[in-house]
Amino acid sequence: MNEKEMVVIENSDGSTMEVELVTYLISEDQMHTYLVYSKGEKSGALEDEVIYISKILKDGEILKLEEIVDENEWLAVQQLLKKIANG
Amino acid sequence: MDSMDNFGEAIYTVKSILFDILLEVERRLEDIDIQINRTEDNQKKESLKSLKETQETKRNEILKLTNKLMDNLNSLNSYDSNLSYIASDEEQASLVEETEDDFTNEVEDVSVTESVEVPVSSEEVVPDEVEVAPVAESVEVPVSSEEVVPDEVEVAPVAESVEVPVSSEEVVPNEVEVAPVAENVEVPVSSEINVPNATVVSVPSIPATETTVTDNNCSQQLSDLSIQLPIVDALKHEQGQITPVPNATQVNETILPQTNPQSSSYIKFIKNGNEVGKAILTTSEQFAKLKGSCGTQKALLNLKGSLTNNSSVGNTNNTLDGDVTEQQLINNGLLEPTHEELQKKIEIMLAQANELYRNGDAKAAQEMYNQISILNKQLQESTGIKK
Repeated sequence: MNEKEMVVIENSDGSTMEVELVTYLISEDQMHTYLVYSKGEKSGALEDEVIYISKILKDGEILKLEEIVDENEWLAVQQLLKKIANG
Repeated sequence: MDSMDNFGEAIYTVKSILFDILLEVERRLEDIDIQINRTEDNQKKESLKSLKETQETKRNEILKLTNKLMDNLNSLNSYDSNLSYIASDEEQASLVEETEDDFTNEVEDVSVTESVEVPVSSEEVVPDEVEVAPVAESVEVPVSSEEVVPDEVEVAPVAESVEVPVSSEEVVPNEVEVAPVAENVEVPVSSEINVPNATVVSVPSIPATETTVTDNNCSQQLSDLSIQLPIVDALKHEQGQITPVPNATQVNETILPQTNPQSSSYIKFIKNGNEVGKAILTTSEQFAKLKGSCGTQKALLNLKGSLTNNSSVGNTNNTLDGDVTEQQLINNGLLEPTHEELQKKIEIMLAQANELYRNGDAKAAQEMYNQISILNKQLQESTGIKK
Protein backbone atom coordinates (compact mmCIF):
# COMPACT_ATOMS: atom_id res chain seq x y z
CA MET A 1 0.00 0.00 0.00
CA ASN A 2 2.98 2.30 0.32
CA GLU A 3 3.52 2.25 -3.41
CA LYS A 4 2.20 5.23 -5.21
CA GLU A 5 -0.25 4.53 -7.95
CA MET A 6 -0.05 7.14 -10.65
CA VAL A 7 -2.57 8.31 -13.17
CA VAL A 8 -2.04 10.62 -16.11
CA ILE A 9 -3.97 13.83 -16.48
CA GLU A 10 -3.86 15.55 -19.83
CA ASN A 11 -4.50 19.25 -19.57
CA SER A 12 -6.53 21.20 -22.07
CA ASP A 13 -3.35 22.61 -23.62
CA GLY A 14 -2.14 19.12 -24.36
CA SER A 15 0.38 18.94 -21.58
CA THR A 16 0.24 15.94 -19.34
CA MET A 17 1.11 15.36 -15.77
CA GLU A 18 1.33 12.29 -13.68
CA VAL A 19 -0.33 12.55 -10.32
CA GLU A 20 -0.73 10.19 -7.46
CA LEU A 21 -4.06 8.41 -7.30
CA VAL A 22 -5.54 8.69 -3.83
CA THR A 23 -8.96 7.15 -4.26
CA TYR A 24 -12.26 7.29 -6.08
CA LEU A 25 -15.54 8.55 -4.74
CA ILE A 26 -19.04 7.53 -5.65
CA SER A 27 -21.86 9.91 -4.98
CA GLU A 28 -24.75 8.82 -2.80
CA ASP A 29 -27.06 8.56 -5.75
CA GLN A 30 -24.48 6.48 -7.61
CA MET A 31 -24.73 8.95 -10.44
CA HIS A 32 -21.32 10.59 -10.20
CA THR A 33 -17.85 9.38 -9.59
CA TYR A 34 -14.85 11.48 -8.60
CA LEU A 35 -11.13 11.18 -8.83
CA VAL A 36 -9.10 12.11 -5.79
CA TYR A 37 -5.46 12.72 -6.56
CA SER A 38 -2.39 14.34 -5.09
CA LYS A 39 0.40 16.34 -6.65
CA GLY A 40 2.64 15.64 -3.73
CA GLU A 41 1.99 19.04 -2.23
CA LYS A 42 2.15 19.52 1.47
CA SER A 43 1.07 22.53 3.44
CA GLY A 44 1.66 23.88 6.90
CA ALA A 45 3.89 22.85 9.69
CA LEU A 46 2.12 19.52 9.98
CA GLU A 47 2.70 18.94 6.31
CA ASP A 48 -0.91 18.31 5.57
CA GLU A 49 -1.46 16.66 2.25
CA VAL A 50 -3.16 18.67 -0.44
CA ILE A 51 -5.57 16.53 -2.40
CA TYR A 52 -7.53 17.46 -5.48
CA ILE A 53 -10.95 16.23 -6.42
CA SER A 54 -12.35 16.23 -9.95
CA LYS A 55 -15.50 14.73 -11.37
CA ILE A 56 -15.06 11.84 -13.76
CA LEU A 57 -17.06 11.89 -16.97
CA LYS A 58 -17.04 8.89 -19.22
CA ASP A 59 -17.19 9.81 -22.89
CA GLY A 60 -17.22 6.48 -24.67
CA GLU A 61 -13.92 4.94 -23.82
CA ILE A 62 -12.42 8.26 -22.81
CA LEU A 63 -12.30 9.31 -19.22
CA LYS A 64 -12.56 13.03 -18.76
CA LEU A 65 -12.13 15.17 -15.72
CA GLU A 66 -14.32 18.12 -14.95
CA GLU A 67 -13.85 20.50 -12.11
CA ILE A 68 -16.55 20.79 -9.49
CA VAL A 69 -18.13 24.19 -9.77
CA ASP A 70 -21.38 23.63 -7.97
CA GLU A 71 -21.05 24.36 -4.28
CA ASN A 72 -23.69 21.87 -3.20
CA GLU A 73 -21.95 19.19 -5.13
CA TRP A 74 -18.68 20.19 -3.53
CA LEU A 75 -20.24 19.95 -0.08
CA ALA A 76 -21.60 16.49 -0.89
CA VAL A 77 -18.16 15.41 -2.10
CA GLN A 78 -16.62 16.69 1.13
CA GLN A 79 -19.09 14.54 3.07
CA LEU A 80 -18.02 11.50 1.08
CA LEU A 81 -14.42 12.29 1.84
CA LYS A 82 -15.12 12.72 5.54
CA LYS A 83 -16.98 9.42 5.71
CA ILE A 84 -13.93 7.59 4.41
CA ALA A 85 -11.18 9.69 5.99
CA ASN A 86 -12.76 9.84 9.43
CA GLY A 87 -14.30 6.37 9.38
CA MET B 1 43.84 74.89 -72.47
CA ASP B 2 43.91 74.84 -76.26
CA SER B 3 40.59 76.60 -76.44
CA MET B 4 41.90 79.18 -74.08
CA ASP B 5 44.96 79.70 -76.21
CA ASN B 6 42.83 80.06 -79.30
CA PHE B 7 40.60 82.48 -77.50
CA GLY B 8 43.59 84.51 -76.45
CA GLU B 9 44.85 84.57 -79.99
CA ALA B 10 41.45 85.73 -81.23
CA ILE B 11 41.40 88.56 -78.76
CA TYR B 12 44.89 89.48 -79.74
CA THR B 13 43.94 89.50 -83.40
CA VAL B 14 40.92 91.69 -82.74
CA LYS B 15 43.08 93.99 -80.74
CA SER B 16 45.54 94.28 -83.60
CA ILE B 17 42.75 95.03 -86.04
CA LEU B 18 41.37 97.68 -83.75
CA PHE B 19 44.78 99.22 -83.56
CA ASP B 20 44.98 99.20 -87.31
CA ILE B 21 41.59 100.90 -87.53
CA LEU B 22 42.62 103.34 -84.89
CA LEU B 23 45.76 104.05 -86.82
CA GLU B 24 43.75 104.62 -89.94
CA VAL B 25 41.36 106.94 -88.12
CA GLU B 26 44.25 108.89 -86.77
CA ARG B 27 45.69 109.16 -90.21
CA ARG B 28 42.44 110.44 -91.55
CA LEU B 29 42.16 112.98 -88.82
CA GLU B 30 45.51 114.28 -89.87
CA ASP B 31 44.36 114.45 -93.44
CA ILE B 32 41.27 116.32 -92.40
CA ASP B 33 43.39 118.77 -90.52
CA ILE B 34 45.52 119.27 -93.60
CA GLN B 35 42.49 119.77 -95.78
CA ILE B 36 41.05 122.21 -93.32
CA ASN B 37 44.24 124.16 -93.41
CA ARG B 38 44.43 124.13 -97.17
CA THR B 39 40.89 124.97 -98.05
CA GLU B 40 39.66 128.47 -98.07
CA ASP B 41 36.09 127.58 -98.54
CA ASN B 42 34.48 128.17 -95.19
CA GLN B 43 31.61 125.92 -95.85
CA LYS B 44 33.94 123.13 -96.69
CA LYS B 45 36.00 123.95 -93.67
CA GLU B 46 33.00 123.63 -91.46
CA SER B 47 32.11 120.37 -93.04
CA LEU B 48 35.61 119.08 -92.55
CA LYS B 49 35.61 120.18 -88.93
CA SER B 50 32.38 118.40 -88.35
CA LEU B 51 33.81 115.32 -89.97
CA LYS B 52 36.88 115.67 -87.80
CA GLU B 53 34.78 115.78 -84.64
CA THR B 54 32.94 112.72 -85.73
CA GLN B 55 36.19 110.92 -86.44
CA GLU B 56 37.55 111.95 -83.07
CA THR B 57 34.46 110.60 -81.40
CA LYS B 58 34.87 107.37 -83.24
CA ARG B 59 38.49 107.28 -82.31
CA ASN B 60 37.63 107.67 -78.66
CA GLU B 61 35.11 104.85 -78.91
CA ILE B 62 37.69 102.67 -80.54
CA LEU B 63 40.09 103.47 -77.73
CA LYS B 64 37.46 102.55 -75.18
CA LEU B 65 36.81 99.31 -76.94
CA THR B 66 40.48 98.61 -77.09
CA ASN B 67 40.77 99.21 -73.38
CA LYS B 68 37.88 96.86 -72.73
CA LEU B 69 39.50 94.31 -74.92
CA MET B 70 42.71 94.66 -72.97
CA ASP B 71 40.80 94.21 -69.74
CA ASN B 72 39.27 91.02 -71.06
CA LEU B 73 42.64 89.82 -72.15
CA ASN B 74 44.03 90.54 -68.70
CA SER B 75 41.19 88.67 -67.03
CA LEU B 76 41.85 85.79 -69.36
CA ASN B 77 45.47 85.79 -68.34
CA SER B 78 44.49 85.90 -64.70
CA TYR B 79 42.18 82.95 -65.37
CA ASP B 80 45.16 81.14 -66.83
CA SER B 81 47.09 81.91 -63.71
CA ASN B 82 44.21 80.58 -61.60
CA LEU B 83 44.28 77.39 -63.56
CA SER B 84 47.93 77.07 -62.77
CA TYR B 85 47.02 75.99 -59.26
CA ILE B 86 45.91 72.74 -60.70
CA ALA B 87 48.72 72.53 -63.20
CA SER B 88 52.11 71.37 -62.22
CA ASP B 89 54.78 73.79 -61.19
CA GLU B 90 56.50 73.55 -64.55
CA GLU B 91 53.26 74.15 -66.39
CA GLN B 92 52.54 77.02 -64.07
CA ALA B 93 55.92 78.50 -64.79
CA SER B 94 55.37 78.19 -68.51
CA LEU B 95 51.97 79.77 -68.16
CA VAL B 96 53.47 82.67 -66.25
CA GLU B 97 56.08 83.08 -68.93
CA GLU B 98 53.47 83.01 -71.65
CA THR B 99 51.36 85.49 -69.77
CA GLU B 100 54.30 87.77 -69.31
CA ASP B 101 55.06 87.48 -73.00
CA ASP B 102 51.50 88.37 -73.85
CA PHE B 103 51.63 91.38 -71.65
CA THR B 104 54.91 92.33 -73.20
CA ASN B 105 53.30 92.13 -76.58
CA GLU B 106 50.40 94.14 -75.36
CA VAL B 107 52.71 96.78 -74.09
CA GLU B 108 54.45 96.79 -77.37
CA ASP B 109 51.10 96.95 -79.14
CA VAL B 110 49.95 99.72 -76.95
CA SER B 111 53.07 101.54 -77.76
CA VAL B 112 52.12 101.12 -81.34
CA THR B 113 49.38 103.60 -80.72
CA GLU B 114 52.11 106.10 -80.48
CA SER B 115 52.99 105.22 -83.96
CA VAL B 116 49.75 106.82 -84.91
CA GLU B 117 51.77 109.89 -84.92
CA VAL B 118 53.60 108.57 -87.88
CA PRO B 119 52.98 111.02 -90.63
CA VAL B 120 51.07 109.79 -93.54
CA SER B 121 51.97 110.87 -96.99
CA SER B 122 49.69 113.47 -98.35
CA GLU B 123 49.23 111.44 -101.47
CA GLU B 124 47.25 108.96 -99.68
CA VAL B 125 45.13 111.58 -98.17
CA VAL B 126 41.51 111.65 -98.34
CA PRO B 127 40.29 108.59 -99.82
CA ASP B 128 36.62 109.11 -99.59
CA GLU B 129 36.00 105.67 -98.31
CA VAL B 130 38.07 103.54 -96.10
CA GLU B 131 38.52 99.99 -97.14
CA VAL B 132 37.51 98.35 -93.95
CA ALA B 133 35.53 95.55 -95.42
CA PRO B 134 38.21 92.97 -94.69
CA VAL B 135 38.30 94.22 -91.15
CA ALA B 136 34.58 94.11 -90.97
CA GLU B 137 34.58 90.49 -92.09
CA SER B 138 36.88 89.39 -89.40
CA VAL B 139 36.00 91.83 -86.69
CA GLU B 140 32.56 92.67 -87.87
CA VAL B 141 33.15 96.31 -88.01
CA PRO B 142 30.88 97.48 -90.76
CA VAL B 143 31.65 100.83 -92.13
CA SER B 144 28.67 102.98 -92.60
CA SER B 145 28.44 104.22 -96.11
CA GLU B 146 25.41 106.26 -95.38
CA GLU B 147 27.34 108.89 -93.61
CA VAL B 148 28.36 111.87 -95.45
CA VAL B 149 31.88 111.49 -94.33
CA PRO B 150 33.14 108.27 -95.82
CA ASP B 151 35.83 107.97 -93.20
CA GLU B 152 33.36 107.15 -90.50
CA VAL B 153 33.82 103.78 -88.94
CA GLU B 154 31.19 101.87 -87.03
CA VAL B 155 33.08 100.45 -84.15
CA ALA B 156 30.27 99.67 -81.78
CA PRO B 157 29.47 96.35 -83.43
CA VAL B 158 33.11 95.48 -83.05
CA ALA B 159 32.82 95.95 -79.36
CA GLU B 160 29.79 93.70 -79.27
CA SER B 161 31.36 91.09 -81.42
CA VAL B 162 34.43 91.19 -79.28
CA GLU B 163 32.86 91.37 -75.90
CA VAL B 164 30.31 88.67 -76.38
CA PRO B 165 32.70 86.00 -77.53
CA VAL B 166 35.15 86.96 -74.87
CA SER B 167 32.65 86.86 -72.11
CA SER B 168 30.96 83.79 -73.42
CA GLU B 169 34.12 81.93 -74.01
CA GLU B 170 35.41 83.18 -70.79
CA VAL B 171 32.48 81.92 -68.83
CA VAL B 172 31.70 78.77 -70.68
CA PRO B 173 35.19 77.37 -70.71
CA ASN B 174 35.54 78.36 -67.12
CA GLU B 175 32.45 76.46 -66.21
CA VAL B 176 33.32 73.61 -68.48
CA GLU B 177 36.89 73.51 -67.38
CA VAL B 178 36.17 73.95 -63.74
CA ALA B 179 33.26 71.60 -63.60
CA PRO B 180 35.29 68.54 -64.47
CA VAL B 181 37.84 69.63 -61.95
CA ALA B 182 35.14 69.95 -59.39
CA GLU B 183 33.79 66.59 -60.40
CA ASN B 184 37.19 65.07 -60.24
CA VAL B 185 37.80 66.56 -56.89
CA GLU B 186 34.49 66.80 -55.13
CA VAL B 187 32.03 64.44 -56.68
CA PRO B 188 34.17 61.36 -56.83
CA VAL B 189 35.61 62.14 -53.47
CA SER B 190 32.24 62.65 -51.92
CA SER B 191 30.86 59.65 -53.66
CA GLU B 192 33.83 57.61 -52.70
CA ILE B 193 33.51 58.85 -49.21
CA ASN B 194 29.81 58.56 -49.00
CA VAL B 195 29.38 55.32 -50.80
CA PRO B 196 32.05 53.44 -48.99
CA ASN B 197 30.97 55.05 -45.79
CA ALA B 198 27.41 54.14 -46.51
CA THR B 199 28.55 50.71 -47.35
CA VAL B 200 30.74 50.46 -44.37
CA VAL B 201 28.27 52.01 -42.04
CA SER B 202 24.99 50.79 -43.31
CA VAL B 203 25.65 47.45 -44.84
CA PRO B 204 27.92 45.97 -42.31
CA SER B 205 26.54 47.89 -39.42
CA ILE B 206 22.87 47.20 -39.90
CA PRO B 207 23.16 43.50 -40.33
CA ALA B 208 25.83 43.45 -37.72
CA THR B 209 23.61 45.32 -35.36
CA GLU B 210 20.65 43.18 -36.15
CA THR B 211 22.73 40.10 -35.88
CA THR B 212 24.21 41.32 -32.70
CA VAL B 213 20.88 42.21 -31.26
CA THR B 214 19.37 38.98 -32.37
CA ASP B 215 22.30 37.07 -31.15
CA ASN B 216 22.24 38.95 -27.93
CA ASN B 217 18.58 38.26 -27.52
CA CYS B 218 19.05 34.67 -28.34
CA SER B 219 22.07 34.37 -26.22
CA GLN B 220 20.33 36.16 -23.42
CA GLN B 221 17.32 34.00 -23.72
CA LEU B 222 19.40 30.92 -24.07
CA SER B 223 21.68 31.98 -21.32
CA ASP B 224 18.73 32.83 -19.16
CA LEU B 225 17.29 29.46 -19.79
CA SER B 226 20.55 27.67 -19.52
CA ILE B 227 21.60 29.57 -16.47
CA GLN B 228 18.39 29.78 -14.60
CA LEU B 229 17.58 26.14 -14.55
CA PRO B 230 20.92 25.00 -13.25
CA ILE B 231 20.78 27.71 -10.63
CA VAL B 232 17.37 26.64 -9.52
CA ASP B 233 18.43 23.06 -9.44
CA ALA B 234 21.57 24.00 -7.60
CA LEU B 235 19.60 25.99 -5.09
CA LYS B 236 17.18 23.17 -4.62
CA HIS B 237 19.97 20.80 -3.86
CA GLU B 238 21.77 23.30 -1.70
CA GLN B 239 18.69 24.21 0.26
CA GLY B 240 17.52 20.65 0.52
CA GLN B 241 14.33 21.43 -1.29
CA ILE B 242 13.97 18.06 -2.80
CA THR B 243 10.43 17.73 -1.50
CA PRO B 244 9.32 21.28 -0.94
CA VAL B 245 5.80 22.52 -1.15
CA PRO B 246 5.99 22.56 -4.89
CA ASN B 247 4.11 24.67 -7.30
CA ALA B 248 2.42 23.14 -10.26
CA THR B 249 5.57 23.15 -12.36
CA GLN B 250 7.71 21.77 -9.62
CA VAL B 251 5.17 19.10 -8.93
CA ASN B 252 5.60 17.83 -12.42
CA GLU B 253 9.32 17.86 -12.04
CA THR B 254 9.14 16.08 -8.75
CA ILE B 255 6.56 13.64 -9.89
CA LEU B 256 8.04 12.75 -13.21
CA PRO B 257 11.19 11.21 -11.81
CA GLN B 258 9.00 9.01 -9.69
CA THR B 259 7.32 7.57 -12.70
CA ASN B 260 7.81 3.90 -12.81
CA PRO B 261 8.22 1.87 -15.96
CA GLN B 262 4.61 0.83 -15.78
CA SER B 263 3.51 4.36 -16.54
CA SER B 264 2.33 3.20 -19.89
CA SER B 265 -0.47 1.39 -18.13
CA TYR B 266 -1.57 4.43 -16.19
CA ILE B 267 -5.14 5.46 -16.40
CA LYS B 268 -5.34 8.62 -18.39
CA PHE B 269 -7.82 11.39 -17.75
CA ILE B 270 -8.38 14.26 -20.10
CA LYS B 271 -9.06 17.46 -18.30
CA ASN B 272 -11.81 19.70 -19.60
CA GLY B 273 -11.36 23.44 -19.37
CA ASN B 274 -8.90 25.47 -17.42
CA GLU B 275 -10.79 25.78 -14.19
CA VAL B 276 -8.82 25.37 -11.03
CA GLY B 277 -9.62 22.08 -9.38
CA LYS B 278 -11.11 21.86 -5.96
CA ALA B 279 -8.55 21.01 -3.35
CA ILE B 280 -8.64 20.23 0.33
CA LEU B 281 -6.13 19.68 3.05
CA THR B 282 -5.93 16.34 4.79
CA THR B 283 -3.84 15.11 7.63
CA SER B 284 -1.48 12.28 7.01
CA GLU B 285 -3.88 9.87 8.77
CA GLN B 286 -6.81 10.97 6.68
CA PHE B 287 -4.67 10.79 3.59
CA ALA B 288 -3.67 7.23 4.50
CA LYS B 289 -7.30 6.20 5.05
CA LEU B 290 -8.33 7.71 1.75
CA LYS B 291 -5.55 5.85 0.01
CA GLY B 292 -6.52 2.67 1.85
CA SER B 293 -10.05 2.90 0.54
CA CYS B 294 -8.85 3.09 -3.02
CA GLY B 295 -9.03 -0.66 -3.62
CA THR B 296 -12.58 -0.93 -2.37
CA GLN B 297 -13.67 2.10 -4.29
CA LYS B 298 -12.13 0.73 -7.46
CA ALA B 299 -14.03 -2.54 -6.97
CA LEU B 300 -17.23 -0.66 -6.50
CA LEU B 301 -16.60 1.34 -9.64
CA ASN B 302 -15.71 -1.79 -11.56
CA LEU B 303 -18.97 -3.35 -10.55
CA LYS B 304 -20.67 -0.17 -11.49
CA GLY B 305 -18.82 -0.35 -14.79
CA SER B 306 -18.37 3.33 -14.82
CA LEU B 307 -14.63 3.39 -15.20
CA THR B 308 -13.99 0.60 -17.62
CA ASN B 309 -11.82 2.05 -20.30
CA ASN B 310 -10.22 -0.14 -22.82
CA SER B 311 -8.57 2.60 -23.87
CA SER B 312 -8.51 5.45 -26.02
CA VAL B 313 -5.17 6.20 -24.63
CA GLY B 314 -3.55 3.27 -26.18
CA ASN B 315 -1.68 1.33 -23.68
CA THR B 316 -3.67 2.42 -20.78
CA ASN B 317 -5.57 -0.20 -18.98
CA ASN B 318 -8.33 1.77 -17.50
CA THR B 319 -10.21 -1.10 -16.05
CA LEU B 320 -10.16 -0.54 -12.35
CA ASP B 321 -9.22 -4.04 -11.66
CA GLY B 322 -8.63 -4.78 -8.57
CA ASP B 323 -7.33 -6.50 -6.09
CA VAL B 324 -10.71 -6.15 -4.39
CA THR B 325 -13.17 -8.85 -5.40
CA GLU B 326 -16.93 -8.76 -5.24
CA GLN B 327 -16.81 -11.20 -2.40
CA GLN B 328 -14.59 -8.84 -0.48
CA LEU B 329 -17.00 -6.01 -1.11
CA ILE B 330 -19.87 -8.21 -0.02
CA ASN B 331 -17.98 -9.32 3.01
CA ASN B 332 -17.19 -5.64 3.79
CA GLY B 333 -20.85 -4.82 3.46
CA LEU B 334 -20.12 -2.48 0.57
CA LEU B 335 -21.90 -4.63 -1.93
CA GLU B 336 -25.25 -6.29 -1.50
CA PRO B 337 -25.30 -9.94 -2.71
CA THR B 338 -27.72 -10.94 -5.37
CA HIS B 339 -30.30 -13.70 -4.83
CA GLU B 340 -28.16 -16.33 -6.48
CA GLU B 341 -25.12 -15.17 -4.63
CA LEU B 342 -27.01 -15.30 -1.36
CA GLN B 343 -28.27 -18.78 -2.07
CA LYS B 344 -24.80 -19.89 -3.04
CA LYS B 345 -23.40 -18.32 0.10
CA ILE B 346 -25.94 -20.11 2.27
CA GLU B 347 -25.04 -23.40 0.69
CA ILE B 348 -21.36 -22.75 1.31
CA MET B 349 -22.03 -21.75 4.92
CA LEU B 350 -24.15 -24.86 5.52
CA ALA B 351 -21.34 -27.00 4.24
CA GLN B 352 -18.86 -25.19 6.50
CA ALA B 353 -21.20 -25.48 9.55
CA ASN B 354 -21.69 -29.21 8.99
CA GLU B 355 -17.97 -29.62 8.73
CA LEU B 356 -17.48 -27.77 12.03
CA TYR B 357 -20.13 -29.85 13.76
CA ARG B 358 -18.56 -33.09 12.54
CA ASN B 359 -15.24 -31.90 13.80
CA GLY B 360 -16.68 -31.41 17.31
CA ASP B 361 -16.75 -27.63 17.17
CA ALA B 362 -20.40 -27.33 18.04
CA LYS B 363 -20.15 -23.71 19.19
CA ALA B 364 -18.65 -22.47 15.95
CA ALA B 365 -21.11 -24.61 14.06
CA GLN B 366 -24.01 -23.09 15.97
CA GLU B 367 -22.88 -19.52 15.17
CA MET B 368 -22.59 -20.47 11.52
CA TYR B 369 -26.11 -21.89 11.58
CA ASN B 370 -27.40 -18.61 13.03
CA GLN B 371 -25.80 -16.65 10.22
CA ILE B 372 -27.28 -19.11 7.72
CA SER B 373 -30.66 -18.55 9.29
CA ILE B 374 -30.31 -14.77 8.82
CA LEU B 375 -29.20 -15.19 5.23
CA ASN B 376 -32.04 -17.61 4.62
CA LYS B 377 -34.49 -15.03 5.86
CA GLN B 378 -32.88 -12.44 3.53
CA LEU B 379 -33.14 -14.94 0.70
CA GLN B 380 -36.78 -15.52 1.42
CA GLU B 381 -37.39 -11.81 1.59
CA SER B 382 -35.63 -11.22 -1.69
CA THR B 383 -37.47 -14.13 -3.22
CA GLY B 384 -40.74 -12.73 -1.88
CA ILE B 385 -39.96 -9.32 -3.56
CA LYS B 386 -39.14 -10.98 -6.82
CA LYS B 387 -42.32 -12.87 -6.70
